[in-house]
Amino acid sequence: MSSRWTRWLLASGAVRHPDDAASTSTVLLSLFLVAPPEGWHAWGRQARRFFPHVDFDRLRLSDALRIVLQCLWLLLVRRPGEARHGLDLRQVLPRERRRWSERRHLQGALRLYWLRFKAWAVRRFPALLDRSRLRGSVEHAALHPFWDHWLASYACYALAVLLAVVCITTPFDIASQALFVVLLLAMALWVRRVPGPVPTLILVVFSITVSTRYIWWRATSTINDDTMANLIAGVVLLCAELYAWVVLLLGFFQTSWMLRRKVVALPADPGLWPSVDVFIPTYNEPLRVLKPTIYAAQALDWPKDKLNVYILDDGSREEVRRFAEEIGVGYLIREQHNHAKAGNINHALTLTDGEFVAIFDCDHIPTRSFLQVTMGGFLGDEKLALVQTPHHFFSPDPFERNLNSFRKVPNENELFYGRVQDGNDLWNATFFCGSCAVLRRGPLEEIGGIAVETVTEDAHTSLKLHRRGYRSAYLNLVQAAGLATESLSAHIGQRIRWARGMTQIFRTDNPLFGKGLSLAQRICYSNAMLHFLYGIPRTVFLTAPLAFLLLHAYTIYAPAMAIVLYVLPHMIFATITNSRMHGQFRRSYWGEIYETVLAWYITLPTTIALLFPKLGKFNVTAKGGLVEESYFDWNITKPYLVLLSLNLLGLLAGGYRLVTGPNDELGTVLVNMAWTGYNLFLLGAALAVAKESRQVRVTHRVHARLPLTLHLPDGKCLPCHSSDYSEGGMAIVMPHAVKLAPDTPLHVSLRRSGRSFAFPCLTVFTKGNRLSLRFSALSRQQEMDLVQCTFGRADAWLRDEARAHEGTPMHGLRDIFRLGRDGFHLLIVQALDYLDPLPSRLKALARRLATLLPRQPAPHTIQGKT
Amino acid sequence: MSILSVTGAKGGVGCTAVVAGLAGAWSRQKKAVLAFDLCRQNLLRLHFGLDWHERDGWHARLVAGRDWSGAAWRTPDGLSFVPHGSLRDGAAAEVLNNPHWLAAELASLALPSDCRLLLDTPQAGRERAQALAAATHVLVVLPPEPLSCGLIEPLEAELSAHGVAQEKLLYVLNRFDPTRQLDRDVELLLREMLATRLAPLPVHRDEAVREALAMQQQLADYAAHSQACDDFNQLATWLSIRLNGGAKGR
Repeated sequence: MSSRWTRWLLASGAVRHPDDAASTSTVLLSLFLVAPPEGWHAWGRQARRFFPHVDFDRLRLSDALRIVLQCLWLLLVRRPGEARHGLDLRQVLPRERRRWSERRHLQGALRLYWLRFKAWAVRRFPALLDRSRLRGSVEHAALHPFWDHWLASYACYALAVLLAVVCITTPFDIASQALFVVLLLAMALWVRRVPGPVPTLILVVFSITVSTRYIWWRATSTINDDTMANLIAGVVLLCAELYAWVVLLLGFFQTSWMLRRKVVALPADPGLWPSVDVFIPTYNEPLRVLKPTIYAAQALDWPKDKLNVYILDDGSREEVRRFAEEIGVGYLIREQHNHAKAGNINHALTLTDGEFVAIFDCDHIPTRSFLQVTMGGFLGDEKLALVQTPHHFFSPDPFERNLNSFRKVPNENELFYGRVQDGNDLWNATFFCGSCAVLRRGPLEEIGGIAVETVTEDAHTSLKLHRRGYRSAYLNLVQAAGLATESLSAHIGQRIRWARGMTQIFRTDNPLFGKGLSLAQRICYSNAMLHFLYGIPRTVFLTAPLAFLLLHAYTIYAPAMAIVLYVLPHMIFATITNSRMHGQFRRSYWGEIYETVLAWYITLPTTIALLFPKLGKFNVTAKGGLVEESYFDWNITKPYLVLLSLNLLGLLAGGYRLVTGPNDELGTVLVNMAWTGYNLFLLGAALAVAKESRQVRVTHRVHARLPLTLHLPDGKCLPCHSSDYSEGGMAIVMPHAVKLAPDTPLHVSLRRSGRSFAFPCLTVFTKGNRLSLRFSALSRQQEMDLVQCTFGRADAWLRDEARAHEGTPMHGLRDIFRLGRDGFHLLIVQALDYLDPLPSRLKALARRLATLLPRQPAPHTIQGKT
Repeated sequence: MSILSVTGAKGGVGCTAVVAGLAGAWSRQKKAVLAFDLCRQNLLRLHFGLDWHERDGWHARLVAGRDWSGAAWRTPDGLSFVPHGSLRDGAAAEVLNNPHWLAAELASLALPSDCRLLLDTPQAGRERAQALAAATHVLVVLPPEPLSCGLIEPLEAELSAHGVAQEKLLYVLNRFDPTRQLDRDVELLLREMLATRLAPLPVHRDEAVREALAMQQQLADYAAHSQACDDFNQLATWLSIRLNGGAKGR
């Protein structure tokens, strides 16, 4: 085409770019559509980046489908500036980045105004909003002598009961319930700001009121009896909720006030200290696991003539016997191995005669101060028969390892040892946990030794002691540490034993009945036992919405709005209150993960134990092992896969009901679908736990900063500190970089109570100022010294004890969604692996189909190329 | 003002190195320090980088009939020391016949009230008598040998004859090597005998001390991150408390 023709087209405005005048098609396009200023060709090149999977130079038939799908996808989901697979944020255009930062900026400004407003409000109304002032006035009111008068207190009790009855039983319509709930919530949020124990109790009262009101409403006005099936489904759910409500209330009672017992000092004259036998029962654990415990037990700070250490070897192993002989500790075995650990200890009781018995599981390494800390109380109190200290673990349990939460999120144990046992102690109801405890021999023999009737001999023993009027004490000071269970299946096995044993006690020696216990003790023990019956209720909660979604059974016969207005406050208040009470020891909602994982497995054993308490035998919890290969424990996840598919099915059915169902059912469907959604995330998190991560080391490393001296081969010494240690080696931070060849022989020396201890070792590697060592050829004495300088230090676990409060429960909720999502991701990846032997043609087809899927557009930088 | 006489339980146990180490540690802790060499070998100066051929010193000046106080040196980091000075065999200043000469001279110096004086004290001779008469405290340097346990009793008898009270007598274990069984055992024994009078941390046997002297540098300049340097810091801190009459314990 001639240049004149081009000029004419441009001048007439028919085309906007000289390139477009070159071909007829673009001219035609320009006549009918608004042409882009850069010209159709350039625009087309740019537009190609939105179709990264289409080759526009060699179009194929299937590309039509690709282009249509991609257009749809771009219209519906593409979000500019979002970093996705392979898209580097740095490559996003500056304009887009600015838009994002502006939004950030706006958020920041809003936050700033909010903070300023808060500061202003606190200044303006200090009596209402200033935290420390509020705390002062609340505590002043609570401690006022006015309450000491019996008339005042009883009048208040009467008023409180009256108010509670009114609040709980008055039927409200939806609007009144909404108002009631909103008012209460506003008060709770205001009270929550005030620090101290009194506001906690106020929150507990609120929570009890709301939850009880919910249960009352459920029981009186939501049972659907139109068909038998509906009635049964409704009653089952109600029973599960009743159980949860009872456990919530008992839990509040148990943990409302912590005793925080202090250490009682021993008399200055060691001549007055009693004699102690240390029992270390073992069955089949390797000597490697046993050794540190025995070394540390031998080194307990106690007069040597009053301390006797015994290995109670039920495995009767020659290796252990020789070891005991070499280092000079007692070695006890028995002919008949009945009643497992309890029988083992009882047998040892007949052969020894110390006034007190300290018991350590074979992998619980005591610190040197253990007896100094625990024994003081016994001397002042004749009736004190048991002092329990927490169980602490320096290796991650399966939950921590598989969810990667070790030292980040409090583990399953911490709630029990941080809060529950301390709360029990207020009511003299702390129970024996089988290890890390001291018992007085007299009372123990009086009740016939350790209880052998059930598989949780420990709790049963202390129950028997309490029935005889003896006291127990709990010291929340970590004075021993051990290994956590090594695999999820072992962990579940241990919990099954606990659940079964506690249920057995509940049946055979129910703490609610029988003589000798105070009401508070009965309540605390009952809660400890009832707690383990969560198997069935949890399963019910995981499946309850399906009754409606799949079977169309109205389990809660009420309008959706009413359900929301009753259920949500019940859950919100329970969460807020529990978070406030336990936030330091348990992150909100994590309890649900723990329960979800275990629920299925403890259901059967607890039910059987409830019906036939005499069945069953003791199983040893395996420890000190190694998960050599990462694997996905399909076996364990089976029940969860079933629940998961049911819930997914429920969600689909819910979607179907949304479309086809009657209009007045919409709310109910949505509520049930939301519930199912939450359950799905819980199940996803449970699946994430089943992925067993590989453990790299045989020995577990303890993070600790110990000062030490490094003796280099050239005679120089460096003051260093450790970053972690184990029985086999140590990682050291040196003051400056030193290059050492692997296997260079070195010494490290540590100081303990005015003495030095040196250990020969070999270099593993050096990296800058970091040095990794392994101990080599330690003598018996050196092994012993090493344990005493590391695991056995009095302050070894002090740092691990300190925990920050979780702050708000929202983190926990976010964790659930995160873990749930990870679980699903894992499941899909594993399933694809599992389905590997698919016919190759099928796979090829799947891959071909996958090419049709829409893609993320290529980044803008491609623009410059072509 | 505290005057600490540093002496070995026997000769050659690293007494001079301890004086140099302590002086360095205190001066790094921003304390006024004056180290005073009373040994005729005149070796303390080498720890502070003085030239081997430098013969000047307080005793040399006294013998020459000059004012001794001009013999003091100051290192760039503000530490003062007075070398002994090189003497011909048998030469000695008359004034030393008066056992309280040093005490009087030190009292007349215009030193800050919190100044610490370190006297590198020889095993015998009139200089020893001078040091012990002037000192408020005595630090005995012990080698990690079984001998040390036997040396303590006669030493305490000698010192009490010089009028040093037992509670003014402090001990430190030098050249301690924890990788050797005997060193560890000796420390255990000594700690039992001396209780809180023995410094809680020994000074380790560290090649860096010898190398620093070979390089004619102060230990902290040569090897700031050596264990021995760290030990001297700890010792200096402990002594600061004990010299002020504080904390009987460790």
